[in-house]
Amino acid sequence: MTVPTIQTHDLTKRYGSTLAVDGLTIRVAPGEIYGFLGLNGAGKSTTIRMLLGLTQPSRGAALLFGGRVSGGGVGPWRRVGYLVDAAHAYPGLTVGENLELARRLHGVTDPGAVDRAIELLGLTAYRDRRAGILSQGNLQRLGLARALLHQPELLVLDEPVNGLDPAGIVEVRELLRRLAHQHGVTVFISSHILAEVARLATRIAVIDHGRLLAELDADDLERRSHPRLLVDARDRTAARAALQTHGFQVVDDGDGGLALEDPRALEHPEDVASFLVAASAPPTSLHVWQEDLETFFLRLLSEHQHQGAAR
Amino acid sequence: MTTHLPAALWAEALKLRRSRVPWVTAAVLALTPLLAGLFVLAARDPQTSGLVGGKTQMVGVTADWAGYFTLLTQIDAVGGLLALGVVTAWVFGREFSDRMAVDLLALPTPRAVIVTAKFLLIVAWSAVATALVPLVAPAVGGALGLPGWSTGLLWETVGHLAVLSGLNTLLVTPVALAASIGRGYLPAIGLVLIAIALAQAMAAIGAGAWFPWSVPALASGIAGAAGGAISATSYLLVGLTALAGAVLTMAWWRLADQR
Repeated sequence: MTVPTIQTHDLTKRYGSTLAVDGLTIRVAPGEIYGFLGLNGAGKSTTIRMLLGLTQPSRGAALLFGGRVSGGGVGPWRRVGYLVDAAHAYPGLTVGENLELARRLHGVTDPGAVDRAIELLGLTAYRDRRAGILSQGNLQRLGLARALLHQPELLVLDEPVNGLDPAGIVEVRELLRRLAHQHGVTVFISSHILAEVARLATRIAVIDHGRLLAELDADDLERRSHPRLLVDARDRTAARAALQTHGFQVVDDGDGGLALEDPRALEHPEDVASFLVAASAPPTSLHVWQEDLETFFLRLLSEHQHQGAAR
Repeated sequence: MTTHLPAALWAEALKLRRSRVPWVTAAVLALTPLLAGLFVLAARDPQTSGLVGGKTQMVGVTADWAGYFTLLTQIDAVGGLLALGVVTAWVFGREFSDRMAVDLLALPTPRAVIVTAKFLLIVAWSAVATALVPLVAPAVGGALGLPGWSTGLLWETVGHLAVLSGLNTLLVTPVALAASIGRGYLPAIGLVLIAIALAQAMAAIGAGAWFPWSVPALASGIAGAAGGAISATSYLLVGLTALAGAVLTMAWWRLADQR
């Protein structure tokens, strides 16, 4: 059985009376790109800090490569690259010096590693420039270069595309995908750009108030999301009545139109059109709509909050 | 530890070299002979030197090499603590102010090695900055045409400066702790200023021998007999303070939650 790259058991962190992370149990297999989503204050950063041994759990454990993470020890850090808290660098050092410093502290003996990281992140033109005058985007590239310099097996990235321009975002996305697919690097990525995570991640976890709400892979996401047939007609009342006569449960689509979630309607929208024409309420539009990650995410959070309020 | 220490030392030395703070503080320390020279100049002609002249008369500064070196030692006892405190606050506090501390905490180089490297760099800075003072001092004294030069006097002063530098270096380990707990250099600089102020107050009430931060100044003779005679216990207190500061700083870096 393959040892998970990341594993948490009942991982919990309490700050006084605030429960930042509440019994989080996850497993991330080698080579996965694991998206970790949540609103601000949901517990993403605290979880990442516990994974990196920066914060001690109040209860439970975090394991990397099968070994328990503890603060202060040498640990598995030779195999881990990370970027948390947005990218920062020593402002008085050049890009090259910042990376040279990281190379030595990571115990990388090959001095060429710095040049490779600079080239990989497109920082060649900035090599001798002081980090203090870099743009946020280039600072982010420098942070990523530092995380990748020692060719880690696990990358833990908190908002890795912050400050990058659209071309930079695509570049980083492709880089991470390549690292995962071609080199088997496991990527644990937290981001508020949900579309970005949806494009990249092979599995996604959603947390809120420190609790895991859902964990799903791309297939799960498709299955869980609610495809709907959105119907509009000049005479919506007649259209609603006609559809109900045929046994469809009609819901409002939120914009005044009608929505059907019945699989019969989704599989055969042409039948729905025929029923409406026959009932003298011809449709003016008819299309299948599938919930994207953002909508799914917000719906999940809203449901969770309603459940919380009901309790 | 020994396998990682050279890399950590290299990294800390690079960061220190590229910062203005250690250069500026070293330069200020190297210029203390000018300040001592100014006082000696005032002591030579106290009637026309206003308040400074009066002060030099009051503390008994003599306008010769012996007086000049004594004054220099006394200025460096306090100035050295201030400069070392600022450098220590910078070395530890900048990691938090520059938001780079997180990047030092999950590395193959253990945190204890990084903290050790920082302390060693501070010791090295202290040694170099202290060595600059006796290099500059003879030139200033020579320019003033002071009487009573002797090589033995210079070496004696070098010895005093080395002891004071050693004491001050020991006393800045709590500054490192303050910079770590305070997550920045400002709380640590605040501690240095408070320690210096308290050191003066404790010496003034004759209890300086029991307050570690008063010991370097008392050892330099700045307060005369009134400041309280320092003893082996005073030095022991300095050692214990240094040990507590170093151990707690190390423990904080190893165990404290990094939010």
